[in-house]
Amino acid sequence: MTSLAGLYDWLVAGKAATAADQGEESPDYRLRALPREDILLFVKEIDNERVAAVRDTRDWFASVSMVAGVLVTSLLLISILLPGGYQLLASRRVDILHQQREQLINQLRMLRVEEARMLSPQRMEESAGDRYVAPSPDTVVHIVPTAGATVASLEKR
Amino acid sequence: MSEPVEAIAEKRVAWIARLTFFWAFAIVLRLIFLQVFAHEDHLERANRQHDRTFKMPPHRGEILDRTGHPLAVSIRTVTAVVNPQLVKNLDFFASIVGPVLHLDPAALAAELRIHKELERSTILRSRVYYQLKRHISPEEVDSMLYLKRNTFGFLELHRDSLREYPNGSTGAHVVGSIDWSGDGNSGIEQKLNAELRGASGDLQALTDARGGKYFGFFSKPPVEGVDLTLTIHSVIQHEAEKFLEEGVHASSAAYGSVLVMNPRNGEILALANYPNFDPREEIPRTGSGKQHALERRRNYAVLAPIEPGSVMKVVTVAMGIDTGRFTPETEMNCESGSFPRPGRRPIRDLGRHGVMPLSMALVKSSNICAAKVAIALGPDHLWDYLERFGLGRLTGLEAPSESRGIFKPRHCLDQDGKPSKIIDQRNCWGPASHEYIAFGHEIGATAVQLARATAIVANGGYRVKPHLVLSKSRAKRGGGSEPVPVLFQQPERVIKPETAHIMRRLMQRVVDEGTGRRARLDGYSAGGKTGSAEIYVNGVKRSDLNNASFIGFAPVENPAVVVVVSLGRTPRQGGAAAAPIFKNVAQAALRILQVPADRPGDAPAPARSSEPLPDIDLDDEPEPEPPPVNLIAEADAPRPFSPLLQAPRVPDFQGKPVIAVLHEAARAGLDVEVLGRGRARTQNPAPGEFLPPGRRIRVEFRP
Repeated sequence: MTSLAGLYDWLVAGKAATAADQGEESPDYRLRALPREDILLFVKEIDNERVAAVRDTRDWFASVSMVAGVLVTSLLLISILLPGGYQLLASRRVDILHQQREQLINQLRMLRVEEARMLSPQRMEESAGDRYVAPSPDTVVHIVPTAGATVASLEKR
Repeated sequence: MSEPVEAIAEKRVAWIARLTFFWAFAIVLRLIFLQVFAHEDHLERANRQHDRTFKMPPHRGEILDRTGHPLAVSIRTVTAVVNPQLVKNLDFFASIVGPVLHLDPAALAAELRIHKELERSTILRSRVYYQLKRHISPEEVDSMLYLKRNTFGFLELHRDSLREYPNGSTGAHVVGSIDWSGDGNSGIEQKLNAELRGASGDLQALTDARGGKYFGFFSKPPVEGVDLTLTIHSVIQHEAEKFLEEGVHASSAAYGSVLVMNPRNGEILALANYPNFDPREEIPRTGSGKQHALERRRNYAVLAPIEPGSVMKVVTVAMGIDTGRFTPETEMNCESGSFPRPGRRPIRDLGRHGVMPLSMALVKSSNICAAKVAIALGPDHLWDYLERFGLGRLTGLEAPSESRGIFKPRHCLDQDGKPSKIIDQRNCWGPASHEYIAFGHEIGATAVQLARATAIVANGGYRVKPHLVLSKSRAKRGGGSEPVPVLFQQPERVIKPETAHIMRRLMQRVVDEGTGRRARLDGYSAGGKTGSAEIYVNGVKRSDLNNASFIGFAPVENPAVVVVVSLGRTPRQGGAAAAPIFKNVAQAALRILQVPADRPGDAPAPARSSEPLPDIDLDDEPEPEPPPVNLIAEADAPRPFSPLLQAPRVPDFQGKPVIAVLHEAARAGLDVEVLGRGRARTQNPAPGEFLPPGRRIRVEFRP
């Protein structure tokens, strides 16, 4: 049985008491017990040494079935929700890949433009400068056409 | 007496339980209200919050030349915009954003301030956003995103598209350009805008709190723009533009155009105009700059008809021969410089030609003889042949604002077939119109129409449809592309192949001996005709200015190219101004197309007629130095190879006698080299092969 004052004395005042015992002066700060305090804060000590534990199989089955039920329900929920969640993740991944593809296509176009700009006839002529000379017809040797080498644009339609 | 503690505790517990019950009850009521009565409304709000529809703009189609070289490509870019009303401290904003976008901070702040004030004063109320910079670089995008996240949350980065023209001004009149909204405003960009642009799609997507998509599907898939492969060869195009510019400057012309076409199928290999423009430059919205830019964008070859002048004599003489009333040897009295007729303006030649064969009348470009051919055959025949040669008809070229030319109606009749009182009779053919039209007056034709008419002679009598689009395809979303069908008009025979063959020979003489000597090519035979027409400026005839033109083809046997040159407002004649441009352009085109020289080495001396040619024609210029005589045997000529152009198929002559072979070749408009006698045993090229340009068929006959 204890009281608030007792608890306080035990927790805090103990140190002060120890200090007083060592010869130091300390004021009397201990609280007086409140009326009926001992009843309100009564702690009954139970002695169950003589109680024998009896195994309740029905109760055991109930708890096990409860656990199993929770597990099955959880698995069911997971199996229902998992495809949707996976779909969301996959969709986001697909969307990112789409964006990357668009970016790569854009980069490819930029590179093609750059290549075309560098290979444009005007730039080639500027690069060649004075060395650019159109060959005269008698200096040109035409390769003998092979079978099927003649490409007709009309036939490509 | 005070109430016992237990009773107070019980009351308190009871109150707490009641409060808890009402609280729970209120929650249940609220839930019922939300889930049952306000279900639809909240579902819609939730959908609005999470389900968003994104407009997915398509890629504008690419434009390629016939070799696959890109002429116009669209690139995705970003444009930075801001609402100036949301910017509290403009100077601070400009001092941060200006350097990031490589803009002058002071100028930017001033612009923003003006825009803000204008918006307040209702002038620009509808234009909330100010465009900081279009097409910003990826590094600038990263910096702007950082600023948007940390400092200026009101910054906006919009998706944009940049049209790149890697060839610059080369082929600008063919390809065209686009305006600020992304629509074409000239060239094929304008004509085929709907196909190139495609259609935007709708993407339904679930978004997270940050607006990022995590699940989406197309409720309406975007239709990608069609990729166009043009018939243009960018190298020939570049050469044509270069030589045209030189020629315009040399002849002091105001403008000019050059057109190179494959006569077999109407594919335009080059279409150049001067002055030219850079398609990357936007048209100014106001002021003289706009007018100047629009003038530079004028495609003279398509939209500006000119009086063809002597060029029209090709049609007149072809008519005379095709009808059978005339032959090249028909003797004609071309008078002594003037052909007076009662009540009509006399037709004049600058020289006194006298009597000469029809072939020489064309070589000397006699107006009087051309008129006499038309008089002999009558206006109905001329009308018929003008229509056959496609004059006054749209060619259907894929270019905007094509002109039909100046082509008066044959009769001014009303619906009942009586002379119309509504139509001004001066706008129809008069009694003498056919006489003037015969040598190119009272009629106007565009360079494209002239090219189509020349191609009829060059290809053996077929009228082809000039076109710029070789093929179309559309990119698929999953990758790859699918072809888009292109309508193609089959060539239509309008004159006999024999007539075309004769006309080619006559036009060759014009180049070798006549007014077109400056068009003579090195190493190749060529045929052509010069033309000059006096012009009117503000209703006043200017005898010092001409529209000079030249139509021609090369090589003469199975021509690979038709070239039309037209120069506006030049003081020089067609033979002096336009023929040299033809020479340069045709020479370059034949070299690029790998057409073998049919006169290897320098051109041989022309086979002159017995009669010396005086320089009396309007178009005549001093004859250039004759090239050295060709010493290389024809057998040593390199084998032909032209992978780009279609040619006629070689007929099968095996087992046929000489006369039958000659007849069949004439019907096909082809030349045959006959070796031996008897029946045809071997021939080169083999039957069914394409006859390369400039090459004859060699047939060996044995008994």
